[in-house]
Amino acid sequence: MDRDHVQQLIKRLKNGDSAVLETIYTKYRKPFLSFASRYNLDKEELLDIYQDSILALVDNVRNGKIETLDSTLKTYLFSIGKFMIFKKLKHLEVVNELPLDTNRLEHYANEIDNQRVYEQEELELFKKCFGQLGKQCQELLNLFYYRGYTLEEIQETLDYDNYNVVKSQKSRCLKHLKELIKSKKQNGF
Amino acid sequence: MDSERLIAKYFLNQLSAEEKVMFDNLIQTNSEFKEQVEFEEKVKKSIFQQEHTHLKQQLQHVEKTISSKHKRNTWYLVAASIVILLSVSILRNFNSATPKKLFDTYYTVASNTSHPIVRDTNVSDTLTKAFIAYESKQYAQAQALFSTLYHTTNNSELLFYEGICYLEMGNTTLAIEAFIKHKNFNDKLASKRNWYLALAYLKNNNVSKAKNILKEITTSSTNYNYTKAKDLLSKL
Repeated sequence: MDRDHVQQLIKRLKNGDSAVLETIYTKYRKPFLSFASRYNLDKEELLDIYQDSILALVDNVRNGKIETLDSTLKTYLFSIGKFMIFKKLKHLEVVNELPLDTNRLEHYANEIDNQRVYEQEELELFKKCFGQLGKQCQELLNLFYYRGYTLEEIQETLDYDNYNVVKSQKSRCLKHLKELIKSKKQNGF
Repeated sequence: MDSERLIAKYFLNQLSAEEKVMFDNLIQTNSEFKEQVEFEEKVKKSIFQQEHTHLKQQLQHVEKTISSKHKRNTWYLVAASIVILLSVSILRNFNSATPKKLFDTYYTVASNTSHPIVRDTNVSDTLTKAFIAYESKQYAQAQALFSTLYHTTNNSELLFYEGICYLEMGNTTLAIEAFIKHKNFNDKLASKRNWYLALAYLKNNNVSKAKNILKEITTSSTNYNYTKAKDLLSKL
């Protein structure tokens, strides 16, 4: 795969083209499984890690602080895979020469980890209520909490008149969400 | 800086060292602030999980397609192997049944062309006795007489009839032995013997040897049972 092709794939990933996911998934599935077979994990676990690795790659490309990607997609994917495996196996050693935004990767891995800190039941309630928000609120909160956009970037992206409108819109959305959750909780979810 | 902006910066991972101290201090002292941060943490995590789940389902779907394709392929392979195995064993059964069946189809006992029995022939003659036994299908008796007579007279034709007796008695191996022995003599039954030797091999399930002899027979139309040999050969 030549560099232009990689850049093109990355561009598509950045634009949120999800069809490209399938292409990447299918292309590197077998090589990844054989690469990861040296770790003592069964196939289901490896597939799970592989899927998370692809999504972490997509996340890193879209939301990480990286300007250019010079390696092959395979290099990125396998580095992330290794990172994810080590995390799963609770290896203390850090994957050093990862050509990506490791902070973001670490962050992503923690956020998608279901077993940490919060009650899953409560998070499900959050998701449910989030889905009941208006499209605009969902978009704004998604850009801020998930994509890591600053309020200024959100203003630009969503075409708000000024910074303060975004700021107050964001607190309104959060407040609305909080109320939805509160009322649901009072009604016993 | 208002607390809202501080929290926003915290979530964007943009706190300066100074702001970090401020942030940590507020978490410790201001329960409302702490509650707000915790609330937003959950919002963030639930959005992450949601996005992740959504995309992951997409990949799981892809995986399902891939592995079901694999499974389908393996299923085909398994099915194909079973079919192949079955057909092989069926064919083998066919092949093992076929030579015997063919033998039954093509075999008729060799008529006595060596020693015609006529009414007034002296029955005390051992040779006549042997052929009388042969013609009256007393093959065990005939075989014993042929064997004795062969040793005393060295009449090679008797070996042939002995072979036929063995075939009739169901002892194919001895029949083949007798026919092979007969091969050393080029008497007038040589061509006929080839045919019966081929059939004996067939009955003994030795198709390749039977084929060789049949091929030999089909080299000349003057050979005994030339047409039948050709016919039989085409079925092997």
